Amino acid sequence: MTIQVKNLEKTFDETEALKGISFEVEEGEIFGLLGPNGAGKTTTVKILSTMLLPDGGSAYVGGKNVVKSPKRVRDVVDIITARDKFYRRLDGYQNIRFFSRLYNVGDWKRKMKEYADHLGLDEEDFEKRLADFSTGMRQKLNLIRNLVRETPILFLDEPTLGLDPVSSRKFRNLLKKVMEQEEKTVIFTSHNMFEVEELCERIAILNEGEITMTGDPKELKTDIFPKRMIEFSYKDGGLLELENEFVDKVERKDDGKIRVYIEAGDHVHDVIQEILDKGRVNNISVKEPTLEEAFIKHTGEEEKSAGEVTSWR
Amino acid sequence: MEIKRYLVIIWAFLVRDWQRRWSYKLNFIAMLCYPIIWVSVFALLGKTVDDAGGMGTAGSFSTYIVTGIITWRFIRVGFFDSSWSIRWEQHIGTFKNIYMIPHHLLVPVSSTAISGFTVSLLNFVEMWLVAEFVFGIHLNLTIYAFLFLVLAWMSIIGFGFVIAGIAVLYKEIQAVFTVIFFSFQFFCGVFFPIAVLPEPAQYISKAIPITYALHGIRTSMNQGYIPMQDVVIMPIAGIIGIVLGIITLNLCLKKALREGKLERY
Repeated sequence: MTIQVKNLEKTFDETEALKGISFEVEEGEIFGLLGPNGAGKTTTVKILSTMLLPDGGSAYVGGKNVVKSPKRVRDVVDIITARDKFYRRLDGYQNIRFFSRLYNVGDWKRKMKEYADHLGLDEEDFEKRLADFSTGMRQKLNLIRNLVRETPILFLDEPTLGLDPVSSRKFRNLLKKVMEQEEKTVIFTSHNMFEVEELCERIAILNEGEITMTGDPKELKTDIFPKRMIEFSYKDGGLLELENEFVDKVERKDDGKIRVYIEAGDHVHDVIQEILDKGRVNNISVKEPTLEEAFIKHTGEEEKSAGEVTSWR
Repeated sequence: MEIKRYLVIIWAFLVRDWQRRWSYKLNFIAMLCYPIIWVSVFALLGKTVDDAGGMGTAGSFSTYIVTGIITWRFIRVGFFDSSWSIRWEQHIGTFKNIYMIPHHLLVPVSSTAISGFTVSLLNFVEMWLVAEFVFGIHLNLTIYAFLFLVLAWMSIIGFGFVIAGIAVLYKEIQAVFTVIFFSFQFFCGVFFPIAVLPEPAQYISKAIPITYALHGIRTSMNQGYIPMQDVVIMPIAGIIGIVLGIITLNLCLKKALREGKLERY
């Protein structure tokens, strides 16, 4: 087990930021901590990277206790956030050289070049001062600064916060590329369901300092939102009456499309077969709720989002 | 921690700091000009006083004040580099990345101070050359005098670490300490002998290590030897300063880690 967290507690003044959370992350796993603002995600990551002391419980990173052996923990972890900065008056090369020397990175030039090629930064980019870097370039350089260290454990604390959708997507793609090649254990925190679903193999939902659910994103969606929707239309119109016992509701939309809501499970195929048997069908598709929908329902934020369109995909 | 590893980190800070200074070209020139202007003003002031009768049998005022100003500037740079190090990284947002090295915070803080030592050294050489060759004020710079100066610098960076530690928790505290440090100019005999101060102020003078540093360096440069009292006091002050600095830094760091104030600017 690379990361073990047991009954971790943290209180700031009167606010209980973490109320005894526990979870484990296996070696090489990409684990997502999902939660709304103020849920305790950053607090957790800060404790695990020895930047904050817990009030109770224990946490082991790479087999080392974060309170008793902070220096040994920092030897095997690194953390990337959207808030990370560089020395603006130095160029990219000078910045990476400084941090590589600090982190005792051997052969940093070769590693830097390799990652730069991989992430689409060329030599000319490294000659620019950081003040002249775009946000996207800075995030790439941030990733390089951390990757050249080659720590086996990486914490990504809302790394796309503040990036526009295009830059966020590019950054996620970069991460995916890197994660495919590197055998790293990663904790990824975000309140963006889409990126967690896209990147993480397993997630925990953190809400008001408590982990309320852990599992793979697909399982979580099914557990929280055990409904599926089949959307289609008949070429020749017509009303639809389905006999399958798992069918919950049938709706006919103004554009002629029919939506059938059923419970998730193997019987989805039976219902589709029944629909196909009853007429000539146009564009039939099975839609499942997004993680966002499941998350909102699970964290009790439903009331806050009342009136919003349910998001299915 | 291995010495070799520590030297690599010091080198990293040294290169970074000089590259950063060089990136501000006009500031870099200003950095070279300030000590020259500074020593020139006081050399001329000293000569004016000497021409008017000076310090009588006590020696030349030019030598007295130029030695004082050179030593003060040497110490001052060390103090600010050590005390401002953490705060500066917090200010520009790189502190987290500095903290993530697998060593005690004292390693980057002391490396910044040692990097700043090179500026102290450059200023010192500039001022000494101007005093000697432009104004003809002869300062008898022996190796002992120089080692004593380094010892004085070490005693002051220890107190810089104390302030660096406190500044992690109380961000504005540095302004208070800066004023206190500047007030030392009046108490430590930079511009005038402490004997001219009111008697209660002389007790304050005796409690500040810089007084002994200035006295020892002046005696060494002007008379060729360092008084035994200063030779004994300075290493003790240096050790007390550094031990106090490490203790304060540790205590403040632990409190900051508990309260989540480590990265906060």
